[in-house]
Amino acid sequence: MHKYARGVGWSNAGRMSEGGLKGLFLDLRPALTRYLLVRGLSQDDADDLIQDMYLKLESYQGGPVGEPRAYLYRMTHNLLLDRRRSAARRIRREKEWSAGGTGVVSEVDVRPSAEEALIARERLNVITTALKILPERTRDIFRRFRIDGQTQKVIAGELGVSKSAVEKHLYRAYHVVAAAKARLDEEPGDATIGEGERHRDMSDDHDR
Amino acid sequence: MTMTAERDDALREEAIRWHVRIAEGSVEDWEAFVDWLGADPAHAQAYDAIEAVDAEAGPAILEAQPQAPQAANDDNPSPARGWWWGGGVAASIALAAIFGPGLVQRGDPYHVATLAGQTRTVALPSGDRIALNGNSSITLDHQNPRFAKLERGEAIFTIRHDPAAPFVVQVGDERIQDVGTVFNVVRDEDGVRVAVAEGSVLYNPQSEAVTLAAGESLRDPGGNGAIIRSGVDPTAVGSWSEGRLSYTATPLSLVAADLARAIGEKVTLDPVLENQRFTGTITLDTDRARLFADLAVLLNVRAEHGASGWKLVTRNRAGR
Repeated sequence: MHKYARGVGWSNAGRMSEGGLKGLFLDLRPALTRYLLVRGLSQDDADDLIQDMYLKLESYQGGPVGEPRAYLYRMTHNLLLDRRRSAARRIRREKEWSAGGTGVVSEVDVRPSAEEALIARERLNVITTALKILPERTRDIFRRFRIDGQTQKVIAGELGVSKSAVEKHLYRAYHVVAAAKARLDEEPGDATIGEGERHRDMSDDHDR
Repeated sequence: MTMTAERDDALREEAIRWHVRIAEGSVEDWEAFVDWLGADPAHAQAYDAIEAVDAEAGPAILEAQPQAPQAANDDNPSPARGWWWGGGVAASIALAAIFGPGLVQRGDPYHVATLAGQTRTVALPSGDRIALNGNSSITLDHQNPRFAKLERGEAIFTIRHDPAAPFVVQVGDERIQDVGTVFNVVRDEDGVRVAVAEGSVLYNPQSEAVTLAAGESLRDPGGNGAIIRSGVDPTAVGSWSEGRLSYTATPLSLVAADLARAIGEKVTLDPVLENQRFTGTITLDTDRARLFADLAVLLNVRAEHGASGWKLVTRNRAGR
C-alpha cells in the first residue's frame, strides 16, 4: 500500500464517510485558497481553480482516503501545476500558429520550432552530464524518487539507510540540476559543464 | 560572492528542502510550507524555480541513470508492472476505494472507439486526458486509471506525472511509460509511432528502454525491424486534435494514412509519391475539396476524388 502513500494514503482506519472529503474540502477551502494566493495566483484564478476542484471531488463520489487534508493540499498543488503547464503550452502553440495563418503552411514556418527542439536537446545533455558527476548511489536514489515513484521511506528501507540520508541525496541531486539549469538560463548557448562556482557543499553524510 | 547571490543560493536550498518534504507531506508539512511561502514573495519565486528544475530533471535522470533499480526477490522490477499485473488484491481494493462503488466495475475494462473522421476526448477522473483520433480504439480500466491500451489508430495523451503511479500505455507488445508528459501514439500497419510534445517517455522500459524527450519521436516497425529515432517539432505533436496535421520531412505514405484517419475517407497515393517527404502543416478544412486542392498545390500533385475516396497522383503521369 505504501506505493500510494504520497499524499494519498488509503487506509481503513479513519475512513471518510460518503461525502466526507467534500465536506472537509469546504472546511479547508480558505486554507487551500491561501496556498494558491501565496503561490502567486490572483484571487479570481484561485477561486476558479477551487471551483474546478469542487467539481472533480463531486465526480469522485467522496471516496475514502487516508490523511484527507494532506490529500486535498496535494490535489490543489497538482491542479496548479497542470494549469501552469497547459498555459505555457498554449502560449507556445499560439505563438507558432499566429505565424502560420490558414490553410497549408509552408515549411519556413516550422523551422524555429525545430531549432527549439535542438536547443531542448542540448539543455538535456548539459543537465544529464551534470547528473553523471554525482555518485552512483545519489543518482539511483534520485531515479527511484523522481522516476520510479518510490517513497523516501521505501528507498531508505531498501537501501538500508536512514530517511534523512535519503533526503540528503535528494537535496544534492536537485542542487546539481538547479545549478546546471541556472548556468543554462544565465548564458544561453554557452553553458559550461562542471561544478558551479556557487556550489555549496552538501556532500557530507551521504551514507549515514 | 555578493550578498544577493548568497541569499539566492540559500533560498534555492530551502526551496529544495520544501520540495522534498511536501512530496510526502502531512497536513502539518503543508501548513508549514504555506507559512514559509507567505513569509516573503521571494520564497514563492524560489519554489517556482525548483518546480521548473524538477520538470527538467525527469528526462535527464532517465539518460543519466537508465537502469531501473532491481529490488531483491522481485521478478517484475518495473513499478508500473509490479502493481498492475502483480500488484495483487491490496492495490485493487485501494483503487476501488478512492473511485467509489458507483464508478468502479472491478476487473472490467471498457473500450472507447471512434469511427473514421470522428475524434473524441476522454477525461479520466485523475485529470489526465486522452484524445482519440478517427478510426481508433482504446481500452481503459476503471480499476487502474494509470493504464491504457491503444488497440488501433492514434491518440494523444496529456498525462500528469504521479511518481507513485507512472502512466503506462500498451501498444501491441510495446509499452510506453510517461515521465510527466504530453505524447502522441499511432498504431497502424506500419507499426508504432511515438512523438513527445512535453516531458519525456520511456519506450519499452523492460527491453530497449528508449528515452524520448520533448521534440523526439520514434518509429518501431515491429518484428525484427530496428527502432528509428528522429526529431519532431514538439508544438506539432498531436496537432490533429486541434484540426491540424503537422510534419517535418515525413514520408507521404504516413501523411496519407493520417489524413484518411482524420477525414474518414480512403486516401491512396501514386506509388511514386510514397517516399516523397512532406514538411508543413495541413489544416483539416471541413471542405474536403478545398483541403485537397491546397494539398495538391503544395505537393505539386493532382488530387482526384472518386468512389474509392481521394487519390493523389503525379502531375506528370496524369497529364494536365
